[in-house]
Amino acid sequence: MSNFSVAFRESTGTTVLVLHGELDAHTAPDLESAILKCKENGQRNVIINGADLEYISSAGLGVFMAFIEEFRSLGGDIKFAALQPKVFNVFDLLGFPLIFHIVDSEEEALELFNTGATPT
Amino acid sequence: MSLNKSSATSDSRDNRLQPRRRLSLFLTAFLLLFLSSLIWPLFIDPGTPHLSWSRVGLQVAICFCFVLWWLILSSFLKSARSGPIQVLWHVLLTALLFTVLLIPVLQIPGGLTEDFEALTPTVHLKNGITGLLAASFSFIVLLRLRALVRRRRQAAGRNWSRMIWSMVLLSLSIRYLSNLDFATFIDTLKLVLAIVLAGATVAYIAVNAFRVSWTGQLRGKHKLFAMILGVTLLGVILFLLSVLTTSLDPPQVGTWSIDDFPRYLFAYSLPLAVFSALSLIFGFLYILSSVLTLLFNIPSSADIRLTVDEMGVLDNLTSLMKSTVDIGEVAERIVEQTVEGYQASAAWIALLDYENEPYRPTIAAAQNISPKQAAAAIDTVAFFNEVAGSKEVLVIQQVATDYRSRTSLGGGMESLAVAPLGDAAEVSGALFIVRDEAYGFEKDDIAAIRMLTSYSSLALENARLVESTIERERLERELAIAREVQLRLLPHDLPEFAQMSVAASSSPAQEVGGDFYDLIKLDNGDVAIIVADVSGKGTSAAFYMAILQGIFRSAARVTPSPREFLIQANRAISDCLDTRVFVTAVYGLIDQSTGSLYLARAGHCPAVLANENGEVREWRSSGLGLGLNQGDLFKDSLEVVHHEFALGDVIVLYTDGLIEHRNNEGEDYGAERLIASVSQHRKMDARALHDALIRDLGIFTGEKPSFADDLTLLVLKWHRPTVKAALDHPDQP
Repeated sequence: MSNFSVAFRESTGTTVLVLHGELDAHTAPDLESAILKCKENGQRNVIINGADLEYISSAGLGVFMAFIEEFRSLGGDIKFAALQPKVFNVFDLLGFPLIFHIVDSEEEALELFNTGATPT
Repeated sequence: MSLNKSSATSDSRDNRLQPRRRLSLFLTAFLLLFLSSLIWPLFIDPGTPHLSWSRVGLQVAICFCFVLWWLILSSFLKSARSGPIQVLWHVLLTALLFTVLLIPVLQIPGGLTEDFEALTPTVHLKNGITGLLAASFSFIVLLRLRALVRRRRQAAGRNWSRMIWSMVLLSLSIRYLSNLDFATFIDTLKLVLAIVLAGATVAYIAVNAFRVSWTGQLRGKHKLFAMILGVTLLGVILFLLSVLTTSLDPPQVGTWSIDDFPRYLFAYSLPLAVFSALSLIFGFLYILSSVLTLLFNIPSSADIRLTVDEMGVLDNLTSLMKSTVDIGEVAERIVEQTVEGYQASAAWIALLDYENEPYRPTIAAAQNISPKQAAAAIDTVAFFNEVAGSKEVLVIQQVATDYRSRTSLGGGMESLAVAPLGDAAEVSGALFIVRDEAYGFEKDDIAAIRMLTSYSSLALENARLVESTIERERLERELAIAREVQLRLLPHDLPEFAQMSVAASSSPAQEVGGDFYDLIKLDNGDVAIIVADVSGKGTSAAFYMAILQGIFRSAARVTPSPREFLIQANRAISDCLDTRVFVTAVYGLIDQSTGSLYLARAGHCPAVLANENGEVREWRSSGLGLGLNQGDLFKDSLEVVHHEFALGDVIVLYTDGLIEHRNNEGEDYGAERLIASVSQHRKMDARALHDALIRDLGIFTGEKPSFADDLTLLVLKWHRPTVKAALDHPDQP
């Protein structure tokens, strides 16, 4: 009954993870292994494309918290693009926009990687 | 026979040396004794009475000699095929061979006197060889028929030995007992003893002669073949018997006849002659009853008894299922029943050890053998793997020749059946059954074993299920205790206030959860209030919730202002949180005397504020969740809002479980519906309003009984008009 999936896409030195479906406590391990794979492949710049992400629970948010410090200490980052309003609302309530770059499109996120901007 | 076949491994050859050495020792002793029994009579004066020392000594030596011969033959025949056809065929061949070999022996020159004394020294040789042939024949008849009599019936073994012993005793004592003239009391006693012995022998011969359960297993041409063999054998034995029991007149000198052989036999040893005759009588009766049973297809009582025995075992296993829950005990009972009801000389069970990976079969119970011996005897893993693959009963008719048997097993392990235990999907163990004869398992044995293992599998599976249920119940009890502890952490009775009423509830999605609410009255009369949500669900969330309660109860008293408190709480809880866990909280401080509220939100769902007129709004002040940032970002982003209560103002605090609740269409309840519900019921007091909000949620979600997420709701209502409110609404009390 899991209706969550992660697709990988390469985009000029950056890995885009396209999330699909509902990210909750049951599906969070899938996302976690996807991000782990990025880490093992030496990719530190990750964009999360949330255009098809319909729901995120606190367990899903926790996955990003688990990796962000390590990615940043290695000079990389995790940025979010194209989140649906409902999902963005969850990010926003929690204060994630203060910690992460959350932008409207993948291009913007790429641009931010290119300029080397950091969220805080 | 198979004793000469040695397995390929060298250590098993070493182990087999022992019985082989013993056998050669027996053979040597037998040959020496036999030779001396030929020479000894040369030194006995013909006039010596029968019960003299020299004659009795000779007879003792002969008896000892033939006991050895019996042991030698029995060890050779132990691993011979024991199918009915083979047995009958063997017996017939032996009978013919006996007759053929007898002819040249009887042509040895020389004859006997009326007193059975040898006329020439060559007659002693003639006597001896006749005795050897007769003994060999009768021993082979008995040893071969034993396989048929004892077939699949352990109890038959007892009657069989009793028959042999009574035959031996009768043979040995016949010379003494038959020496009667009825003159003395001793002779009367002798007569009684003779009658008892003869009666016992006849009775046991009769009992064993009807053990013909094997006849029921023969079908079609096998049956016909067995009948032909049986009838032929009857003819041959009848002929020999008639010869044995005809007159014992001394043979004519210079001629020979097959009729002469009993005389030479008697001259050699009377006990041996009697034993041979008894053996032939038994053989005749046994084959006669077999042929008749085959002819009329009479079900033998042993057949019925056997079914009763096996049914008894299955019945015991069924009752075992109801009474025993321990897997080890069930396994013990299964092997015990197997030995009891399935004629096994030993049995053991190997079960997969699910505690340690990789799962390997280990011996869980063994009967008539120690688990260690069983493990050493054969390669348990190899046999297990084979039956786990085939899911069929595996039969090794000669264990010693199988490459998976590690040693010469000796001690009653000649054939082996390995049956898989488990369900259709997975083999979780194997039952090993050994019998003390080679080719010990027939077709119908395998069907019976299949039945036995399907019952055993059920009993074991049942025990396993019960065990896991007990384990689950234990965990459930532990969780129930955890739940109780957690409920105690939540305030069971909210304090009463003059100016306001408060109602709250919290229900975890699982036994325990990560939601938390609390409310304390501070020393200065202010009231601190908190609703918090630890990310995730279940036990780990519950631990963090407990920590948070501790932080609230202690820090709120020291630094009650929302900003100070949340900064303290963030610092305290960040140290112990896992990186992927965070906490959202909303914290308020109410000054009861002035009716002013200071509220801060740390990543939590915004508080809902409604006034008497039905104006409702969300307080979405900025603030990071606890545990997300330990630095200045948390402090810098934290915003505190201020509100002066008016009469009828309502504050609703909740966790995301409330608005993320879904109905059957997968639609969220959402903040809008909550706000509408608050607006609709705003005039109620706190308790009624709280219940109405939960009721509205229930109407939306339908009949869904369980909560997908922890759900907490706290409602606070201000009842006292403030100065400002009194000015705004002068008409109200």
